[in-house]
Amino acid sequence: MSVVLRLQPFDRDLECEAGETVLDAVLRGGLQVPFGCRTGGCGTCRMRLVEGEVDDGGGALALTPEERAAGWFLPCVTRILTGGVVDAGDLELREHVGPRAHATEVVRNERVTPEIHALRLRVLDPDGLQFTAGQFVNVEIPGGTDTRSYSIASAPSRPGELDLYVKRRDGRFSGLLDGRLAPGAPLRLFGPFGQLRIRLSHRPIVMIASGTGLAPLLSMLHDLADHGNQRPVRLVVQAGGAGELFALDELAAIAAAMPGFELVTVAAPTRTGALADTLIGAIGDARDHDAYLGGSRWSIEAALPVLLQLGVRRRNIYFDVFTPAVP
Amino acid sequence: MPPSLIELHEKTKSYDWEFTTGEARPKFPTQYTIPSKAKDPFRLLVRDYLKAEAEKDDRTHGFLEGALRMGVAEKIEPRFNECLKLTLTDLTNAEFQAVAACGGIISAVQNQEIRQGYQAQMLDEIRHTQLEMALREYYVRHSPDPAGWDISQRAIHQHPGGLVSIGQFQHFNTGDPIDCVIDLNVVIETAFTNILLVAAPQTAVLNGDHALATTFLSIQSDEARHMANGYGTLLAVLSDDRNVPRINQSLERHFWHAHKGLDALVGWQTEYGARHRPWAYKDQWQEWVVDDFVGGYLDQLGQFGIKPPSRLGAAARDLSWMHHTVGLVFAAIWPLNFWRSDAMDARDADWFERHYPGWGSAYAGLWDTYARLADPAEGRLLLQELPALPPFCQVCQLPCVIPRFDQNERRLAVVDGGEYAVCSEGCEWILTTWPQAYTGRKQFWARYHGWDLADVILDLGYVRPDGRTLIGQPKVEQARLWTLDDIRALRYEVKDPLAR
Repeated sequence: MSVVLRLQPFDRDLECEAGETVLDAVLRGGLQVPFGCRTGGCGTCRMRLVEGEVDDGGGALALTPEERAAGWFLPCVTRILTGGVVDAGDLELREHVGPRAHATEVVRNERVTPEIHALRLRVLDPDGLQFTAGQFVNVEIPGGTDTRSYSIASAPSRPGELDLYVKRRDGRFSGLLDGRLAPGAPLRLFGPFGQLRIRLSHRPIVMIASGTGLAPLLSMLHDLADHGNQRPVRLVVQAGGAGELFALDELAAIAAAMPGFELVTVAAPTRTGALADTLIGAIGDARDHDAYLGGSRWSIEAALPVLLQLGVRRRNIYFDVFTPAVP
Repeated sequence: MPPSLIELHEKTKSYDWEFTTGEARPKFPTQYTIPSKAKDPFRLLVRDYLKAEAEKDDRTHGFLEGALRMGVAEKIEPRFNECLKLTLTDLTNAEFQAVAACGGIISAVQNQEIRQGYQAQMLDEIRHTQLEMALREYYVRHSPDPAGWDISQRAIHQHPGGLVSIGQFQHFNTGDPIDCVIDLNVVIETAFTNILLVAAPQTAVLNGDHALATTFLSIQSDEARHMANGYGTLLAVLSDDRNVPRINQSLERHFWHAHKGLDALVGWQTEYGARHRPWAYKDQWQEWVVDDFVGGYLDQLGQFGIKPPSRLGAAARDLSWMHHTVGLVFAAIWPLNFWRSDAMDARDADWFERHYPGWGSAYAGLWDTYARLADPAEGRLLLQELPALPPFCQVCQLPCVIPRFDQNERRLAVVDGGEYAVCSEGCEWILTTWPQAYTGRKQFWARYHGWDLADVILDLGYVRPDGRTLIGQPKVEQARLWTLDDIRALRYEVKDPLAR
């Protein structure tokens, strides 16, 4: 059974099929709204419910409890239960043209830890791929139309060459790391996507990374260094052991270029309580700081209360959640 | 079928003409280059505007009528109403200066769409002035102690706290018209009015003043259009790269000056004028000034070359102490005030220490002394405990003891052989970069150098109708009020700290 959803501000009526997400209904209706990860992690597609009932199944991690209470929801993970009205706010509802595709080829594919590969891609368009530090791209799985999301780890000042970090698993894309993704292999990207970016302020910065969640933070660090950043920056990297650390040369170069930068590595614990204790020691006083997080949903959910406890305002905590795609 | 709003708006803009018999010269020339195309995002029509504003006026005046019958004025926390005698009057000055600002901007900007927005803004500013004057009249008639309200219009041109407003808001309508837009629409209205007109009403309601909240919220509902006027103008001038360095310098100047003047006065009102404080001023500032204005508004304009104010961090650091120090200076000079300056008690001290750790060691002792000396029988003033009177900053007009007595950044700047006191590096930069805008100002203390304090009070006229009792008092609840005789008995002579 379908229900009718009215989209403000232009009063467009959309039919939502049972079980369909609001985002799917919007796109099927020929409209485009900004969206990114499609897993409730990046917050790009946020809208506000005016009337009706919705269910996000607890998947809208990028929203605070206050925002949810005020009616905000993420259409990519939300199903509409009754007919209703949704305010798309200042999002521009345009005819759907699809995200821009970019042809690239693999320049480097190197295993940097037992679990992580560094992938460097050359963008074939002479203008490169313009992006903001913190954004991600959707990489098309060769031979199909499905995509996987990866944050860009390189600096926006190098739009012709993108660095991605890919975690090895038996997925449809990561499964190709040992074979098809050799130098010279073509790859098609869509994007950039995502709202994560460095916010302009005077506050010192604390960053917390786990696994490939370091990627968007690396890009942001490069960008800060490129722009002569004067704000103190402390990066806390969680890793199981020294063998799991990667991009250390890059981080050393960033430290040389940015005097206020400090790298702290901590062991990745196996249970939440231990993580909190470790983080509290590694972060120190974080009152009036901006915080940026990159990593799995588990690691971000563990870090959020720690940061709040240490005095970071909720509004000043920014993150992208890394969610594994279905293989 | 009636024409659409867009068609009507286009038609309105077409009431313009090219000058063929002479050169079109604005009355107030600008050094910026202004393109002929720009957008008023509100596409406002006069008929719609008038309907909306009339409705808002009706609601506000209707509330004041109802408030009389319900005795709302009697339920206001006295210290809230006392501090308002200065701050609401300062704000009315801002509204009035903004009326004149719009005239100058309309004359300078040869662009019908932008002009249309500023014409509506000019009517808004007149409306705000009238609403605030109506509110002040309501206080004159109904507040428990109206003394001070009745002379407030004159008093802000005499009192150091009023001169902060005079110096601050002169920038709305002096100098280059585009600099006026940057100060009025971009810095003051976009960055600072949410604190003033959204957060302050919250504090007002908690302290029993629903009349102020109603008036301010009616005013604030116009501010979004004013912000849009500023944004439209800024985008227009940003389309010419040659304007960018000048815009950045202007933002730098007005952000710093607005921080000093507004943060001192609004911070003081919302914390020292309150019994019940919903949240700390410095947190309000993080929300609206840092996250919304700098992190949102200015960040978006970064792609056009706009830079965040370089003194943002310095301003944020000031917020821990600046308004506390200003509050204590206002209390120390209480005989020269046209309001009663309440003492901070143990309950206040507890709140301040929780929200501003270290407040107790810096200020509690001085407030205890102040409270102890409140009774005229003590025969002494906190003023007499100070080693010297603080000079006022030649730029922002705040006392040169900020952010804290023991950590102040006071300095003497030399311009064309003359020496001027300034409170901070930022104000020194402003003074030495635009000296002609500030060096002509006289110091309050210089006017009264060598006078007996009682004669200063008489000269200012801050005396109640009996001709002997002071308007200013050191507490809101006083068993016996101070008189001119009490002050004269102290034999306190004003000494200009800058006198040679």
